[in-house]
Amino acid sequence: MANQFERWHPLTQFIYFLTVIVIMTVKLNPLITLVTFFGLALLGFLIARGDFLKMSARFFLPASLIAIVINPLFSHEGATILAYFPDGNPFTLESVLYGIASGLMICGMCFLFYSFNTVMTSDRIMYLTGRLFRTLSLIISMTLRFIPEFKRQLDKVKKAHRCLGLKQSRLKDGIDIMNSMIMWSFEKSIDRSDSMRARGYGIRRRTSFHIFTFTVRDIYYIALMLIVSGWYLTMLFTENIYVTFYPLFYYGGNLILSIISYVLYSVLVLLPSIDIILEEIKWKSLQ
Amino acid sequence: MEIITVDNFSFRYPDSKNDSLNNINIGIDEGDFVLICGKSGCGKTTLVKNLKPVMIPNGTSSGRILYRGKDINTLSPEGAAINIGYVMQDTDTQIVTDKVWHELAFGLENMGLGNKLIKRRVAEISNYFGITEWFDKKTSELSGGQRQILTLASIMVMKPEVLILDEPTSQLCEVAASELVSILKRINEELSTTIIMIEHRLENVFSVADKVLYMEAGKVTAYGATKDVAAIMAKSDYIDAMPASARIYKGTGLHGGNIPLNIRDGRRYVKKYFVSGLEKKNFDEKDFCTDTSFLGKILKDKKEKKEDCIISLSEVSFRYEKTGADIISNLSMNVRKGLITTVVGGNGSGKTTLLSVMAGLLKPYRGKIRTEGKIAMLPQNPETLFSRDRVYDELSMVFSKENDKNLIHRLVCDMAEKFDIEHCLDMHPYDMSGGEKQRTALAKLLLTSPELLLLDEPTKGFDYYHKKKLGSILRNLVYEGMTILIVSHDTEFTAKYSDVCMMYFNGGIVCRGTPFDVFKGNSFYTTAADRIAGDYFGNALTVEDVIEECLKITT
Repeated sequence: MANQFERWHPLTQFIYFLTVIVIMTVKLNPLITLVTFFGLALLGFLIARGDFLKMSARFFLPASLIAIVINPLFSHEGATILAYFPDGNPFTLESVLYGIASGLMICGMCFLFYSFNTVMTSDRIMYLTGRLFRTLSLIISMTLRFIPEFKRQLDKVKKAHRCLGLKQSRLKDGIDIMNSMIMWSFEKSIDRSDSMRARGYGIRRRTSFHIFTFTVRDIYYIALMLIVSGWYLTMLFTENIYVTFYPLFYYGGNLILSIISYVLYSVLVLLPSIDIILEEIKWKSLQ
Repeated sequence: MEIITVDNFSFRYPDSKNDSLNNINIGIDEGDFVLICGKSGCGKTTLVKNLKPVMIPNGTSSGRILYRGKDINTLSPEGAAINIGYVMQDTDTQIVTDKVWHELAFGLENMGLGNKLIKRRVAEISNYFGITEWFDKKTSELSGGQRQILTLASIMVMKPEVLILDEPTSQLCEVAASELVSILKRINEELSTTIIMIEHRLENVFSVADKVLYMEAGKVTAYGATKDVAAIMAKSDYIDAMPASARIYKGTGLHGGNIPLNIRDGRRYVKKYFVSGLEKKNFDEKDFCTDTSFLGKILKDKKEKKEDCIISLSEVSFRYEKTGADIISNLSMNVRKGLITTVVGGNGSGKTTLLSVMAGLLKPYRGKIRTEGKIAMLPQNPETLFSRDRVYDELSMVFSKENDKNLIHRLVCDMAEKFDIEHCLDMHPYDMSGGEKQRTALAKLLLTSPELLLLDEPTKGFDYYHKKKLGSILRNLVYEGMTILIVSHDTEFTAKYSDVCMMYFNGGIVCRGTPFDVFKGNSFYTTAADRIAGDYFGNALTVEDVIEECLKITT
């Protein structure tokens, strides 16, 4: 089922993921990671609902929990000592804070890749690469065509082989199956290249066709995302936003400018979610 | 104006002693629908490959092929790619990309067209072929018929003047095949595209073709209007491969001037010359299913001893996904030893699944399967059984190395002789013809000495001659004590070669009996000969039966 975010132009989607990942990773900032974490959790839920929750509960949250627990066990930096481990190493407040922040970042990253995977389907990635490398996008497309075909054939060969019921080692069985697949692949690729040449492949410089339309909305979104990320990075490098964990956790810089930056970033992270929700409200009101 | 002129053309493959094409002279007019037929190996494919510049095989040729009066080799690469479309036999390998829309655009991308123009052309062609509903799908998710339409559309999108097709229906089921033929007819009539098509399933195509080119051993035997050439073909030994009505026409002594090529005309022919006075027989329920032969009586005897059956299924159910529908539901069947049993049923009804369950490849979630002895299964695609690069090794790999080399050699050679593949022993398995591949696969399976042989659609895509060979091989195997179970929707083959026939529908066996019992009660799902004259002659199922009955009347 398509949602509003999946209807964005691939370039807009790509810029969204790119800006979020750059801002999130350029400097570990607890507020940014918190916003990203919740924003992407909402997005993931809106895109995939149950599947997202299942994946989060099974993999993403446990992974970040481990990161949160592990950091204070191995990192003993920081000035505020809360206790001592049996081996005499200090257990510090700063390492706990750092662990939580990085754990949330890891989780946010998982959410991001989850959404990326769901939204950026093969044809979208191909479209993006196709702008730059025309042949590459064709190769990706052909590979994606070949994989399910290969799997199906492998299944058939395995079954045929099992039916033959030869009394030989599993290694030998495997070699036979592989041989059969190699022969088949070669044969198919020869036929396929015939079919390509029959349709004029290699005569002229190829163009690459796509079915995506770039709308005015995409221009607005891209402009917004670039401005917000530009703003944030400027604030960061001019030290108007300033965070350190070690030796002491310190949050500094210009308060007003920082608040503006965080609000702007929240808008950026929530942009697709807002779009999806607004669309749903509008759709319902139209019914 | 002639669009293609083949002028004194001969062609020879590099290491061959004979010409594969010998002095071919034909002219194809613009807008013609030309059907090319002939036995396999007569040079049909070689000829059409020579009509498409990038497909021309290695070899030496003499004579000329002209395209609109100019030598075909002087066409610009773009001109050749755009104007001459070529559809190969195997639909699967022709699809290059992963998405339907991308596949449609592939040729136009190659021509370097811009996005807007491609979009328009793709939209146009999708509408014409009714692709819009699956336009966004992945190509791997399409059905066989859809795939064939996609290949055709992705060539038609380039607006070719000539469309060449090499046995386009061989991988398709009956329904999809006739749909394809009607699309081709539409293309020919509405777009006046010249169509050149090789085909051996003649039942459908004779009625749409304007001209027929009949080839024998690399030479043109006849070329001209369909009816005329069909009459010439009927006099040659190719008659066996022709539609049932034509065979009845020939067998009954060629009455009247016009050769009947479809069932309707065949029926008219039989009615006019043989049964004009006879009443149509109405079979009531008591009458049908009355095979009085020994076997027919045995099969009606409900009690079956376990010893007589090689495999028995009782209330077996199977489905692929937990929430999916049952593919096989509460199916019970017994397969008797020493007979050829055929399970017939429509396409996609799950017959292949049934075979896999019987072979133990899929586990049913309910029911019991009792088997005796080793089971071997011939898959639809024999290539899945090949894993060596020489046919001899392919066959000898079945034996473990400890066996005596001379013994293995003898066994392999005997088997090769039996299956008529001796001449292929040194070849690469993929270089053999389709029929040879299938026979090699069969030979390989038999070397494992199974007691039950399962065959999955063994006649799919094959012409009459190979079917006949296969049929006699199977009969011989049964004679030697093998039990054979076939799943098929080839009614003619079933009627001719099997002992027991079961009709499979909606996950279960609907009826069982001799082919006579099963088909005689049907009016749609039966042999062509039965549809032509079955209701006049109570006991005619095959073409031979009908001919015999007709001749009885005249004498």
